[in-house]
Amino acid sequence: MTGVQLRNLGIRYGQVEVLKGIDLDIPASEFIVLLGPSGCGKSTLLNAIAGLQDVAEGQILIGGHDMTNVEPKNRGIAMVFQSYALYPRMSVRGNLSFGLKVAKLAKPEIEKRVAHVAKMLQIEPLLDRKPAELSGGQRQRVAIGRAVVRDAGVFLFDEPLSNLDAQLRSDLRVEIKRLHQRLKSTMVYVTHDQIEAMTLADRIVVMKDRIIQQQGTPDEIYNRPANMFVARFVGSPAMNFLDGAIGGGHAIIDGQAIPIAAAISAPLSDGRPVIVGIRPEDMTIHTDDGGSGLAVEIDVVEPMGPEKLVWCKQGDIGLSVKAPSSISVMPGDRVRLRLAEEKLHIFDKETGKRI
Amino acid sequence: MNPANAPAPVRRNTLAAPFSRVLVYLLLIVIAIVALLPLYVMIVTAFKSMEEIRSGTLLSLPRAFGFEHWWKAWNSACTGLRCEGLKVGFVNSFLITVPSVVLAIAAGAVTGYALSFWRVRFANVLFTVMLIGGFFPYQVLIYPLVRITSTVGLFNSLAGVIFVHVVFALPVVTLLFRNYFASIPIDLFKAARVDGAGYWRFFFSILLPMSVPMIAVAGILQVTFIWNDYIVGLVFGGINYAPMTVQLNNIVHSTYGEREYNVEMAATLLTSIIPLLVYFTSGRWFVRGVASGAVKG
Repeated sequence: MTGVQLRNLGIRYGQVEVLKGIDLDIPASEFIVLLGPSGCGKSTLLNAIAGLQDVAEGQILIGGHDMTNVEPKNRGIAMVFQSYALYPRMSVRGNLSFGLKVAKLAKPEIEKRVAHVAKMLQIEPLLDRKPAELSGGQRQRVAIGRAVVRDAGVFLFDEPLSNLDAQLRSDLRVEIKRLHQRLKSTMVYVTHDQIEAMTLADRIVVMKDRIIQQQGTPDEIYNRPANMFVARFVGSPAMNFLDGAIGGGHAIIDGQAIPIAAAISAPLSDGRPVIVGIRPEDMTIHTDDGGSGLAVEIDVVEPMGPEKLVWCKQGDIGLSVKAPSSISVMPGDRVRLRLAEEKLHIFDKETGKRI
Repeated sequence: MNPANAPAPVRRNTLAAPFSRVLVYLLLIVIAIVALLPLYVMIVTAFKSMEEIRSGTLLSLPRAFGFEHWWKAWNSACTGLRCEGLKVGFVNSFLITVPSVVLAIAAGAVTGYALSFWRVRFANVLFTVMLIGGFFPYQVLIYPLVRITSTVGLFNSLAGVIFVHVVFALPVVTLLFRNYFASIPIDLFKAARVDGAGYWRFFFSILLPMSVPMIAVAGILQVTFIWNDYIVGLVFGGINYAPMTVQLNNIVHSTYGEREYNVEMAATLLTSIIPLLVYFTSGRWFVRGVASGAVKG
């Protein structure tokens, strides 16, 4: 089993510093997802691990060995690309066996491995076809097969599902998860899709502006986001943010005092401005008059099947609330929102960091 | 766009279609006639006897088809002092064209590959310099090239002609291949590198099989260009390796007494038969290659 360590990694394009001082420890067999918006440096990081990107400073260790300046083929890695990157003039069989041929494996061994992988991924009937004759889902299956056949300790996925439609995406997502359970290889997976990250990852690394914002389990990322960026990026619809201030162990929002945990409020002086974050599922809608809660007006109601997504307006601030589908509210209704006190996220107004 | 109005233009289009189609075809036919008329005159003249040509019926079909002018042009027409016809030039043109085209494509493809996928140091500068070289009119470079080839002992030899042709072909062939390779997703290159393919392995196993249309385009361009070349063959080939075009010129311009228009036309057609064949047999490839270079995927 092979772990990956990045030590103080720095990458430059000419004079431009793209990544700097990246430290990351990926234990063997872990499924780690690098999550972030485009341009955050996650793909560059993946290419550096693969050896497709020159490293200006720092070290890359794979399986405990320094691989910083080793050729990609000798790193014990396999990679899957967003564009599938299948060799267009070769059959599926040719695609699967190309790397093994380059590595000069014996023919019977190549055939054995290709047959095994084809069976595992259920692409046996496609072996003699050309990539152009395959659907998108089949192509990505073959591309995954080409990675698996290398028998590598580390799998690198560069947004492998982004080119597929929604149905196929969720099918292949399950497939990749099953693959990980079966092979128990280390997997590094780059995506901008927070649902893929939440569902696949043992651990998520959230990146923005070439800096690691937070790393942790999906549960930690979702329930204890380190800053407002992470809070907004993970979860759909995004977390709601409200301006507020601290006052007597409460968060004061729009004149309403909402109690917050003493551990959070104790070190904060009264009157300190904060941002209060709350997820759509942590609020309830109340139509009774005179109750406590934030006074809002219903803007749009989206029935989702098992639940309704209710968009509310508080002044010019929009808030989203997940409500049971049994609720009957109409646009224009004035209602009150009650916030689950234990689910509040308090952020520093200046830095956006979690308090 | 008003959705209520949407069906109207569709209907108008279908109504207008027959008329505009007739117009388009008419135009195409007229242009085709204009373009093909000289060729027609050449062909019929080559079959006519001198007597008939003198009668001035330029556009009429020949009264009798005579093949002896063709035979004379091929076998015994005088190209200067020797009277052995065009066949010597035909062989020379072959000896010049085939190696020149093969070498130009090989060199251009490898150069384009290095400039696109490997991002060689100063790749863009090198490429720009090369392109600027391609823009110089030929004639300007003749004298320096004569000096260079004579210094290294290539002047007046087959190798000299081939060398000059490859040099002149390199900018455009490199441009074709570089741009074609630039349209190929970089992920393919990365995938092959992870699979362990090095510089030549990727080139031969993956890139070249994908480049058949481009090889065809470059081949067609260069075959016609080099076969039709006159000045390089004239200057660098000397007497022994004068290509067909030079010999054709000699036939046409060295006449004693009456000009044999039928022989001259036959000789001209014989000289252009190779480029014409190339176009007719590979036009499909040419169109496909040009399109695949322009449009991604």
